[in-house]
Parts: sequence; structure tokens; C-alpha cells
Amino acid sequence: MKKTKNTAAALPVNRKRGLDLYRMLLTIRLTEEQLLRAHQQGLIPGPCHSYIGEEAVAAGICADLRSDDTVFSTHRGHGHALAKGLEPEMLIAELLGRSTGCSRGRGGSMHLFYPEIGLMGTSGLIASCILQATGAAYAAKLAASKRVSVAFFGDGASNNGAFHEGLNMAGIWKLPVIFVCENNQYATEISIRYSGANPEIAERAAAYNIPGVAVDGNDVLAVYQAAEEAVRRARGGKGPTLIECKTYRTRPHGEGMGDYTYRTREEVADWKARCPIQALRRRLLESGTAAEKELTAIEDELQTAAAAALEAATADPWPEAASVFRHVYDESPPEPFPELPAGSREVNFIKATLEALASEMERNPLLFVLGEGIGERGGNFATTTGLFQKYGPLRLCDTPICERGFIGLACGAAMAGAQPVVDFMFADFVMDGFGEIINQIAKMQYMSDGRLRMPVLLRGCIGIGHSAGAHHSGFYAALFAHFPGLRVAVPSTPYDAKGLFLRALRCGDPVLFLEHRELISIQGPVPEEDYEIEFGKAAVVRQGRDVTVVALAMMVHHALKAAEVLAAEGIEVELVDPRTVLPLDTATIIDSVRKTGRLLVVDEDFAPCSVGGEIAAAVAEMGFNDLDAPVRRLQGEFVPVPYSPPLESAIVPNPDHIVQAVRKLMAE
Amino acid sequence: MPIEITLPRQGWSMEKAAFVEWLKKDGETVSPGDPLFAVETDKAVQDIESLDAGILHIPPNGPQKDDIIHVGDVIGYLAEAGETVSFDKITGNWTADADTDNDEAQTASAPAVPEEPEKVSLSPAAPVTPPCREFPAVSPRAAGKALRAGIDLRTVTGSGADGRIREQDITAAPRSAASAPVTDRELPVSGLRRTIAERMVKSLNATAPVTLTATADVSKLVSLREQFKLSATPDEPAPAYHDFVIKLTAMTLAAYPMLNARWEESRIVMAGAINIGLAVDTEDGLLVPVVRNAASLTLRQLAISTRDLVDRARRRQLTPDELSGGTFTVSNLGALGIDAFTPIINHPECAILGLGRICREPAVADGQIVIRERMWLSLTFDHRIVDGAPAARFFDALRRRIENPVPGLTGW
Repeated sequence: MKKTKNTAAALPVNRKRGLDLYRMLLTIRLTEEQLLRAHQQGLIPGPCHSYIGEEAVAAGICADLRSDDTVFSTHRGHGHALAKGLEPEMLIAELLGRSTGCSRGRGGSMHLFYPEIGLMGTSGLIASCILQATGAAYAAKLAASKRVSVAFFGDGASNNGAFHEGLNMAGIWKLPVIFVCENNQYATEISIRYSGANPEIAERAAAYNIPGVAVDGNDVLAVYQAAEEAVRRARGGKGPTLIECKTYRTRPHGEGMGDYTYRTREEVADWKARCPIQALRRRLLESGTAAEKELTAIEDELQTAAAAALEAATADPWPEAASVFRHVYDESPPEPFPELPAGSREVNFIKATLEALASEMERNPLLFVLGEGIGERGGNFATTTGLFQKYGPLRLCDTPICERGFIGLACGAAMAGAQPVVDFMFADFVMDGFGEIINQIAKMQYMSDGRLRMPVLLRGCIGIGHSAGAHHSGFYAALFAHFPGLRVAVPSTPYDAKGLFLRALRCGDPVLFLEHRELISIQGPVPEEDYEIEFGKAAVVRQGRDVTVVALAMMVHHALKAAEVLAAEGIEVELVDPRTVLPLDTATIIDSVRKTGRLLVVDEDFAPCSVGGEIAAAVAEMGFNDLDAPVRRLQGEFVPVPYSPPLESAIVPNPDHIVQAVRKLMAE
Repeated sequence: MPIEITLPRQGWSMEKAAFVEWLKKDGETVSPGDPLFAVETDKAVQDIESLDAGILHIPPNGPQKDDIIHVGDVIGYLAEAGETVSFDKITGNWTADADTDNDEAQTASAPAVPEEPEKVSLSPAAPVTPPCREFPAVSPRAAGKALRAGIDLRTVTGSGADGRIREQDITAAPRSAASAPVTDRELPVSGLRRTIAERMVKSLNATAPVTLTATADVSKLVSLREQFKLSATPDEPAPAYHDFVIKLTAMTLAAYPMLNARWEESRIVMAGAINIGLAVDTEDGLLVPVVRNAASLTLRQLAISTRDLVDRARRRQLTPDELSGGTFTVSNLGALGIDAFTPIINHPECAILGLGRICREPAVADGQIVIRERMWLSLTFDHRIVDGAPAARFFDALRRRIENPVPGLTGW
């Protein structure tokens, strides 16, 4: 019954699969060749990283993926995009900067997005894709879906910390992710033989207790077979696989770059001779799968199609310049729950945020919390008390201490439809993952032209107090307020904390929710029901006619004390708490200055490039004619935070400082 | 068709390169991926690989080592076997390092790149405020407040640090519109203005003016005019008050000719005719057209004449004749709410009558307080020509005629 073919070269795949793979290899190669032409003609305004020579990896890995499986890729991603199903014209149009490009002209060669077919993005930054694919796999697991995710990355990324953090997390939680290392021997111009202490990348999988497979990356059938097994494992809940595909790019790192300073002509020629397309062609012919004539017909057909794609893309329209402002933020967040009067029930600051978190977790089954000790322990600051018992470890995920890793995971999970809440304990720890926030999370909605939403809440304690020292006392609000795509909330009361936390969870955007550690135990009136406080809406905490004081977080409380002292002297302070610094409600501040004619900004943070500086600039620009005295700032001293109490208290404003500063301002 | 071999763009900003050498020989077969020629850019010597296949045709006038070639320049051809190749497009002018980039290929079918993206929203630029050293330091808020209150900042002492003037200093400063810094503005003097000025000064310098004032009970005159108004039509409106007064004045002057005289050098000339000037306010200034022989005109003739004269005065259409020859002038400021004033004599006439407003006032009649219509009259006369008592007699006679107008108007 068993049909045997009397040839040693029998294909391990059926004829249709064999021809499909051949078509994909050719599509990638021929499209790349059109891009080379376009680049040489000056039609590509930016860089162009060719995939020529590595086609077998993308074609082999993606052959068995479904359209809802997700692919996260690297700066050399043209092949991955095409293999995942992107039309050549859309790829070419993107590199040409046209509105018909897959990223609608926002990306170019290194930033290809087409989430509609699971192309979740290629990235100009090394190794982030490893974390994002891990995150998408986490989201798939959370949604109990059979989706798998794939990270394509190079040998260079395998030496990056994200490789370790991502593979470790995927290994712990047995996530449905396939890590595909395209080992093309060079990280730009640095050889893996130099940069890898162990250049056998597949062997590193052992460190994470996952399978590591090395295959000839120029043999599409070998790649395909390895991928088939890895996909089967992933879909079957058996966890991740690392596949190292040994391959080579026969073009320079980027088009137009010199090539023979770090490798030889002989080496390039040798790899050109191992062309993956010619290799499969021979196999198809030798196995009798296809005839010469049939393959030539395919080649002619695809050659014509590739040329037509370039011609069509060249005639495509440019994007409208006015569209440049679209999709920095989510343009259709849900209606906020209306604000409520504070009422008489008192809870503390953290309990207020816990109520908001619990409420939204109940509504959204794809909301999960990541952090160190936020599971059974309930959070270092009781931020998740009781939730683990209700929702279990998948939704309250205790992480290894790898901030970059789990921020990147959160990014990928959000891209794949989940809603992560990342609990850092201390915001100082965020710095380890700064690049993932600024380069990935903040920019993702924009780069994808609004097709990826990024509802990521990043929370952590800030502020000076109780001798926490240099690594547990930073303020950081201004740092994050610099970047489009982010929102930054800095509440000062339990009431604001609950309302802003719920808004942060429901606004559809990434939010830095910064909680002053000296405030997390304060009590205050908080409604039991859900309500939201809009971002960019300052609170006038105290009315006064003589001088406006703007303060955030702890400084609001200090300023209130100072205002009582000053009131006894006949100076009436109007105190404004912006509550969010991105967006910043300058209108309320300027209205207040219009009334009082004087402004003191009290900011715990360092003065240079601070929120205080931003407010001063805004008032100078828009409230100049209302000023009766120069704007003054009272800011934290420009030194790292020291430990000893007398040292610590010497660098942060207190109520006495504020009283003196206001008196001085009144005499200006 | 032979395939053109061009210099490809290698770097983002590369425009040209120095040719190094061909890496294939003329007539040799080239496959895609074969290194075809080498160039030296500002980065390094680079091999250019062929994207196409064919037999290489190197033109005799093609670039030699170190010749400068530009992106897009055709430097050779790939052709099929037996195909003929023309080198017409190859200029051979390689060393010229001019900006002759052949960039047509780049833009052949591409829509034009917008020169500059539309500027949609930029942060407002902070205005630059130069320091002002001539004035005291002042807060923007205080400066605005001072301006609105009309307070001269130079009169204010600042109480702020370094003497800066603050809002509270403005609040404490006395308000004085007179001391407000008002900017002067210069206007050219029109011919009419100059004439008026000269005549007024001349009048004041040459005459000895005295002004008498009296009030007239004009209830009957008002009642009379009401009757005219009732029968008025758009084509023929009722006579104005000045028409009544001109007629009555002319009649009175006939009995008091000294008031109709003029001073000439060392003699007094009694005018033969009674020609009454009427002061008319126009946009350009005061004009005084003259109603000739006013005493002999009927009220109707007089009203038509003054209406025509006033109308043409406002349009500056009067002839010099119509503006001269007056012997007495009437000036009416009643419509502008004036009671009494001191008219200036229209030199060389003897006198001028000023009419004030008519208003309803309580008056005593038959031991009762009644409401009467009252008008102020002001007479300025030249004391050189006539003394106070005769002038007062004339004035009183005129007042009586105005109070009881019907006999005079009907020529009784």
C-alpha cells in the first residue's frame, strides 16, 4: 500500500508545499531585486536592508503559520513580511514612502506593520522582538487561543540581554512562541565568531530548558521541518523552541554600505553558490516533483509580477502631511465613567487604586498584572491584595527580576490584544526597560498608524522619603512627559488615585502611573463606585487671590500646610494640582495666574528640563501680560538622593521652604 | 534592447564617485550578482554587482580610472548575443565635475515630493522683549493696568524688588486723565481753516467786542412753527427757527442802522442793504453764506434761500459772491444744546446774533407757575461803532419781535 518513490532525493513535503515554498523564495528574491533597483535609482528615501540570501528562513518558518499567528521581526524584515503574506506592492510602496505602504509611509524598510495578517512589526532595534513575541504568546495563552508567535532575530540579538530574559520567561511559562535566530554570521559587521563566547546559538536553549535546534538556513526544507515541529509543540502547549538557522546575507548590511572591510569576496561568493533558491530548484527537479518548464514558467510569472509591483508602487500617492498628527494616542477610547463627589467613606491611596484595578479586571478578562511579588504575596505595597486568590497566576504573574524583559513582554501582549498592568514596585526599576517603553510601547500606535492599541499601565512608586536612597527615590515624571504616545499621571490623593487609575486602564494608551511613596498610606474620601478623572484636568485644591502655587504629589500636601501659615499673614494662596503632567493642564494654571499675577511652582524633581520648567515656560508664553512678578520655581536639589536623614531632607522642598518662597515672591 | 549600465546610488547622500576599473572584460558574459565595475566613493572602493545578465559592451569613450561619474550616468551596456549597441548616450565628458546629474530616472513616474510638508501646528514662539532702560522696571500686569487706567508710569514709584512697579502700585496711584501720556498728532491746516483762523484773529484784534445775553419767551414762535410743520410737505418743509429770526432781525435792523454799519479805516459806513449772513457748520469748517435783502423777502422766499445756501455750503458749492457782502450775521448753536455763548463778530460787520437752545422752563405768569418755551440770545457788537445802551435797545426790540413774531412776519 505504501507508495515509494524510487529516488534518493525524495522531497520531505508534498508537491504543492514544495512548489509553494519555491514560489515564496522567488517572490522574496525578486521583490528584493526590485527594491535594489529602486534604491539605486534614488526612489527609496531612507535605508534598505536586503534579505537576499536568507529567503529560506522566512519561507520555511512562515509556511505553516496561520494568519492570526503573530510575527515580530527585526531590521532585516522584508522576507518575513512577504512570507507572512504581505503583497509585494505594499512592501515596495512602504519603502518608497507612499500612503499605500503597509505602514502607510510611517515606517520604511525597518518598521513594517500589517497586523491584519499577523505582521506585528519589524523593528530598527535589536532583540525587542524576542520580548514582544513572548508577550504575544502570553496573550494567546491568556485568551486560551491556539495562536503561536514567532520572533525573527539575528545572531547579534542573541548576545543581547533581551534574548536571555525573553527565552527565560518563555521557558518558565511554557509559552507558545518560536524563537528563530537567523545566524547570518555578522551583527552588522561584527562576526559571531568574535562576539559570541559560545557561537553555537542553538546550544544556549539548554539554559532555559527549552529545545534548541540548529538547521541549515539555506535549506528551506530543513527550516520548514524544524518549524513544523516547533509550531506543533507550541500549539500543543509544550512551550517554546529556539531554531538557529545558519545562513548568510549576500548583500551589504544596508544598501550602499561598503562590504569588504570585514568579510572577503571569496566568502560572499561561496555563500552565493549556496543559493537557497537554486538549491530547492535542484531538489524539485531531481525528485521529479516539477519539470524545468514548469519552474521556468513560475519564474517568468513572478518576475513579471515583481516588476509590475515596483511600477505600480512608484505611481502610488504620498501620504498627506496633515495626517502626521494622527494616532499618537488612541482616537476612540471608551466613554469615561463620570466623576463622582468624594463622599464620606475613607480609604487609603493604595486601596483606592486596588479598587479600580479589581473593578477593571472583572470587566476585562484579558487584563493581567506583571511584577515582582504581585502574585500570592499581593504586592510589596499591597497593590494586588486578594486578586491572586480570585484570578490565579496567569492574570497575576510574578516575574523574574528582569524589568526590560517583562516590559517588552507587556508590549507584545498589548500588541496582541491583552491589557497588561506592569507593577514595578519602585519606578527607579523602570529604567532597565526604558528603551522598551520609549522606543516600542510609546511609538507603537503611531508606527502602526493606529492599528495597534497599546493599553499598557506602568505603575511604580516615586519620591523622596524614609531614607530609601538613590535607587528607590527618583521622581521621573518629567522624563516620561517628554515623549509623544505616553501619558503620565501623578496623583496626590486617594480620590484622584482611584479616578486616574481607572482612566489609565480605560484610555487605550500607555500610562505611567507614578505613586508617591510617602502618600500611599494616606487616607481620604473615595466613592465606592467606579468613576474616572480625565487626563489633563488640573484640580484647584485651594482658592486664593494673591499667588498661584502649582505642585504635584507630595508637594501638594506641603503647599497646603504652607498656605495655612501664609493665610495667617494675609497672603491667600491658590493651589493648583495638575494631577497629570502629560497631558498638562496649562489652561487652569494660566487662568489662576490671570487672577493672582504670581506663580510659584513647587516641584520635588530636579530643575533642569523639569515639569516646573515646562510650566514656567508655558506661563511665560501664554500668561506674560498677567504676571506681576517673575515666575519662580522651588525644586529639588540637583543631586542623586542620599541616604542619611539630614542629607535627604536637605535636597527636597518642605512647607517652610514654600512659605519663604511665597513671601519672597510677594515682595518681588 | 541593450541594458544600460549606470552608476547606482550607494549611500544616502552619494551623488558621484570616481571610476576605478571594469571587473569584466569587453565582450565577456555577465550574470546577475557578478561584480561588474569598481568605484571609489568618499567611503571606500566598492564593487558594483550587476543586477542583470548579458554581454558587456564597454564604450571606447567610457570612463577611465579616476574619472568622476555621477549617479545615473550610463557607462556601458549589457546586450544579448548579436545585438547591436549604440554608444550615442555616452558623452565621454567624464572629468567635468559639474552638477549634471541625470536624475530623470528618479522622478520619471513618481508623483512630485511636496517641497515642504504643510506646517500645521508649531508651538507658539516666545515673544522677544528687549530690555527698556529709559523707563522704570514694570511688571507686564502693572503695565497693562496702567495703560487701561490712563496712568503715566513715570509718575509711579515701584514697590517691588529693584523698584519694579507692580499691580498694587498702579492701584494706589491717583488716576489722572490729564497726566496720561497722550501722543500728539499733527494735521495739515486746510485753506478754509486758515481763512477762518485769520478772520477770527483779525476780528478779535480789530474790534472791541461786547456780548449781551437775554432770554426770550419763544412759546408763540414755537407754536407758530408747529403750525407750519403741520402743513409742511417733503418738498417744502417748515421754515427753520433761523429763518424766522433772520427775517425779524432784518426788520429790526432797519430801525437800528448803527448795528448794520461797518468800521472802515477812520469812518463808519452805514450799509445800504441789510444782508444777513448765516453761520453754517460744514465738515471742512465754518462758512457764512449771505441772504441778501432779507427784510424784503417773504418768509417763504427766505426759507427756500437759506435751505439752498446751507445745502450748497455743506457741499462746498457756494460762489464767492454768496459768501460776501453780509452786514450782520446769525449763528445758531441751539441744536447742539448750547444756552448762551460769545459769538465772534464777522469782521467788518458791527454785530452778530447767537441763538441758543429752546427749552421748556417754569415761568411766573399771573401769579402762577406755568411752563414756557425759552431761548437764550447772545449779541456781540463792536463797541467802537456803537455803545452798550443803543445795542441793548436794538437787542430788546429784537427780543420783543421774536417773542411776538406774527406782526413782523406779516409785515404789519
